[in-house]
Amino acid sequence: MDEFDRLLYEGSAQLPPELSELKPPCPWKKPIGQICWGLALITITLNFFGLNTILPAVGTALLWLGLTPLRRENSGFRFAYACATLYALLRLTTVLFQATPLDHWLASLIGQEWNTTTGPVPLYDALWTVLIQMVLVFVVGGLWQGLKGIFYQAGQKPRTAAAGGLVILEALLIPMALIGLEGWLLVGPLLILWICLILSLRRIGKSLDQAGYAMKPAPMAVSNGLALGVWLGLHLLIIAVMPLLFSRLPAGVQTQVYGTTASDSPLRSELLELGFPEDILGRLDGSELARFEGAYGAKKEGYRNDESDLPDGMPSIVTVEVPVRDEKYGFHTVYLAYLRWNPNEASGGYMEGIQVAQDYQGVTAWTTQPDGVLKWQDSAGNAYTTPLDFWFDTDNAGTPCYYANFSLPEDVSGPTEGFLFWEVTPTFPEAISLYNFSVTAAHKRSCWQYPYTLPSELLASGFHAPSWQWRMYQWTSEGQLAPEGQYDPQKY
Amino acid sequence: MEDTRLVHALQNRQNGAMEQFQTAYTPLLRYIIAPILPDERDREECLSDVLLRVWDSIGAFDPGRAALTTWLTHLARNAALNRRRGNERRREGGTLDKAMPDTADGPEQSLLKAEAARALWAAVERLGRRDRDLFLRKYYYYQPTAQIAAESGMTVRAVEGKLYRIRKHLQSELGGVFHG
Repeated sequence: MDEFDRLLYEGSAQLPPELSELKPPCPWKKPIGQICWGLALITITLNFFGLNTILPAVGTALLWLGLTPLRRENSGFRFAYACATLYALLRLTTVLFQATPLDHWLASLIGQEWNTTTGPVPLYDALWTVLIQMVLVFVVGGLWQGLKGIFYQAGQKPRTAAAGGLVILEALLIPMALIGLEGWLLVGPLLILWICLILSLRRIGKSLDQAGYAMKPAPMAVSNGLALGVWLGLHLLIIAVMPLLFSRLPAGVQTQVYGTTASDSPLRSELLELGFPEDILGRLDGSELARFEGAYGAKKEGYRNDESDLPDGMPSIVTVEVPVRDEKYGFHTVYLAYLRWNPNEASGGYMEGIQVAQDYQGVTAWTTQPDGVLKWQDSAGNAYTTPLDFWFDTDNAGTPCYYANFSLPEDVSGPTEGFLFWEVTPTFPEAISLYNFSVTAAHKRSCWQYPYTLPSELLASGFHAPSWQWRMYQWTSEGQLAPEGQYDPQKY
Repeated sequence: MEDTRLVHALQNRQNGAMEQFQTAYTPLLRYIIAPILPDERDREECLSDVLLRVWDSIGAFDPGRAALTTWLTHLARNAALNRRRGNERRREGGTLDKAMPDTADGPEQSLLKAEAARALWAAVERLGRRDRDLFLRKYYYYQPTAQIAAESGMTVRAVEGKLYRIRKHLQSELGGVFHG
């Protein structure tokens, strides 16, 4: 202690009147305040400006920081601290999973769905939510017991009903999440619960006004500011960097094609006569052409755009409807959707998605899953193809759809073309029935996105206006399922 | 029981009022006394002194002028400091703690010290809220740096660094008044 220190102690002994309202320091104020704010921020859900990620991240850090100095106080706080550490790790894992395809991979690994009132959700999501919330309930439970311990330590009767109520409230959120509550009638009680939560948090701080002086916070290895900075920095790093590593989808099996496509054949001439677009016909190989064996009509819709005046990364779409004679069913109709992506450096080529939606209300028809293939030439002039894997699922409105996700090849010297074939067989082949369908393409324009979203998920959620991350383009066709002699391509 | 009701009960010498007071406020009194008196026996004796003083002088306490905790804090702090000074005086031949103010000042010296204290408090008032809290914890409540660090969510080094900067700042502000 130097002379100035001595003078400071000496001077401080005489408190002037204006400081007579000076309140004594409160050892519990900072940690309990952090815990209360942490719990409040974790519970708040604001789905804009990324606050649904930022607020829980800050809340988790505050919860952990608040419990760290109390960890040696008693077994309750020790348990709460251990659970808060686990909770923070789970939260960080969630962010990591959502920044990468891991979330989707785990969801598909578990596979099953959980039905909520708002619709089915992957069972994995439901289980993960329950796990995280349960750990939070344990944290609050530990906090409750820890506070009780403080009161006993101070020789006082515990006043921790608020913390007990908080345990119940946090536990109630588990069934609520599993049920999937929505709507004002249900949100209203939730809002009241939320207000109760905030009030109970306030009461936790207040209840320590006397017993809290028995607390002896343990020292910190790092300051709160640094810990919070590192924690948020880690989040920022994961969110900013990880999606860049998964901005493209893995390429499928690429097969080099030798020789040209369909040569002159009677079928080719027949299709041309029926009105099959010549440029598309010229791009089909023998097996593809064979799908149209027995054709008795053709109808083309959509347009092909050879110029680069389509928005970045958007394909032009042409659909061709060809009814063909069928020995077993009388006839079936083959549909071809032709998609053409012009080479465009600005397109980025990150992720593409195709949705084929069908609408044949009032008519029963049997449809096949689309067979898709991409065709392109690399910079050396070699021709390649790769299959597009389609799968069946309903969109969010319940419409049956087929989806495919892929990334366009990077080394291309001309347009990339997509060919999708599917067949429709009506159950009443004698009658003419309407068969409407749409082909929607989604294009991811940016290399970064959070959370990681597949084009099929966006397509299933409906049509979206262009954004800095996504563009969508939809072509809707009205088709007809008509037997030979009754098919009229001009009619619809 | 609320503070005002407890004070009223104490002032009216109601049965059980002192017990209730002890249950409620002993943790606070211990918290204030502990950093000033390192010896556990001293602390217990000081606590008894403070409780006795509360019983004796509660009649003079006006809840309208200050909060009960503020009044108790001053009472406990002063009692602990007096005990510490007394211990120092009793220690014949021992080293005196230079931190303890000398109470045997003459009138002129007392006046100068009061003047210096006023200047110090004026400078402390001008500090930011956090710096002021740190200063008070260190120089008014005699809290060790480790305790300040743990209760403020900082590392010991960070507290030391902040206190160093506060001292430097005060040194430059009080250069003419304090000669450290």
